[in-house]
Amino acid sequence: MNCDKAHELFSELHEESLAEGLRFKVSGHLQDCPSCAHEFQVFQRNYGLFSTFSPVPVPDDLDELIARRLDRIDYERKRATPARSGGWLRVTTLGAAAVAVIAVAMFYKPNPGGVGAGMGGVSIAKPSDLRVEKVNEVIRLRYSAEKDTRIDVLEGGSDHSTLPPVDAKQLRVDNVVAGSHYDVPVDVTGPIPMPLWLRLSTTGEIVGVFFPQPAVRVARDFEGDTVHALQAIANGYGVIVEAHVPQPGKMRQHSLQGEDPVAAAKRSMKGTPYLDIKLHNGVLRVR
Amino acid sequence: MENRLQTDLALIERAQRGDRDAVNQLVTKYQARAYQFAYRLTGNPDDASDLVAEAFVRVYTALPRFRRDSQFSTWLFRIVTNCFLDAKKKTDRKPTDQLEDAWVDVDAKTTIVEQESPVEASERGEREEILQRGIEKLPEYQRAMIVMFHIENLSYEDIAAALDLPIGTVKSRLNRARLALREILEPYEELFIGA
Repeated sequence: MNCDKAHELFSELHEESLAEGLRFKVSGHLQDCPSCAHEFQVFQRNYGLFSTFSPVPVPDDLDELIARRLDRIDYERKRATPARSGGWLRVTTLGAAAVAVIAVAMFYKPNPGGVGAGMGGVSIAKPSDLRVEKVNEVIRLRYSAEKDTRIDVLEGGSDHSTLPPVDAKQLRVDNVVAGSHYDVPVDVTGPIPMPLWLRLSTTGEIVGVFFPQPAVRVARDFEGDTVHALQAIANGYGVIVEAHVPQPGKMRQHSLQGEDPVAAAKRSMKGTPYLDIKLHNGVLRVR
Repeated sequence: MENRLQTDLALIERAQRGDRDAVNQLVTKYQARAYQFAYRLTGNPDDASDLVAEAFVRVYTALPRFRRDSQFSTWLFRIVTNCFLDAKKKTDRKPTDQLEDAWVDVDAKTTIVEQESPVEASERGEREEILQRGIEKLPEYQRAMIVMFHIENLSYEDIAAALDLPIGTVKSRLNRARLALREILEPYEELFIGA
């Protein structure tokens, strides 16, 4: 037994997994070789060092980072699947109007196996029990949890290619106990409140909530994405819009003067599966 | 253990049928462990986060092909390792040349454990930092094995399955890694005596 061979067997000697014959030879070498004996002593000490490692704290936004990457994949998959129906939203507008508050909720649940009418490879999820309520001009976003739910709340963002926008900022993470209500604890009283995004762990749904931006006038002709379009409807008609759609899309909108919000939304959603449109207590729900 | 595996199996079956909620649950369940592993490989929180996110992207896209003949965690470790090796090939980042660099942020990273004096906490933080930087000086494959075995407590069999190597190869490479680490840490031997 030479020194190199002995070193090769240090791990197995320490783990007591050497066959008896080899163990005898290595042990004999260590007795005769003080250098190797010292090496083995240090080796054994180092072997146990790792157990002293403290766990490193996991970044708060790690799950958000992962979720966004997975959302991106879902989005790319859906985009690769051609839609079977024609246009997206074709909304006309509106002159600028004073708007008390605007809320747009978008519910999105990837399901590659499902097929929804007019949207290849996409199914429409059952909307979660998140309600945009308007009581005495106060807006409340209330979620009633059937199961323990983790809710991630993000703010802002301008890249709507995936939802929530990849550049949205994480505000908070809350856990809602089954059977309880959750009121989104976010101040939206600023002059140009940022959109909020809520991700529900139980269903994977993503809910976008857009508040009034009275300082922003609505253009008569507009070209942009779904989020902008629905917000423009709400802006133009002074209603809350809560829309359930599976994915963002591009759209154009033209002058809609003279129509009511229901008619405007129905015309906008023509050619999509989302024709269940009702206006109730200042909230326009599109499903 | 059996219940955990059954739960994993049920989640994986659902995830393979396209249930995103099941995927999210797998992420929630394993992200912290994947992050610990990734952090020990990269030594950097940002790189570790990116590594874990990239690994879960690969998990998500490869899930339909996951044969369920190995544990999900083993498969995840394999993917994190591959992501790490791929990233190293791309970036070819220069490793820390001097372990002395490790002292820079020791205090900032040290968390005080209960019943530990500030001095003890600082010394422990220093040791951990030196050890971490030592691990980072190992060749990538050895590094992955050291972390899997000593920090993630994977068995030789699990590491062999994760890296698709014979057990004998895993054992011999791990032994080489430990010997290499012993050399790397030699200048700091006094710090570890009595640790």
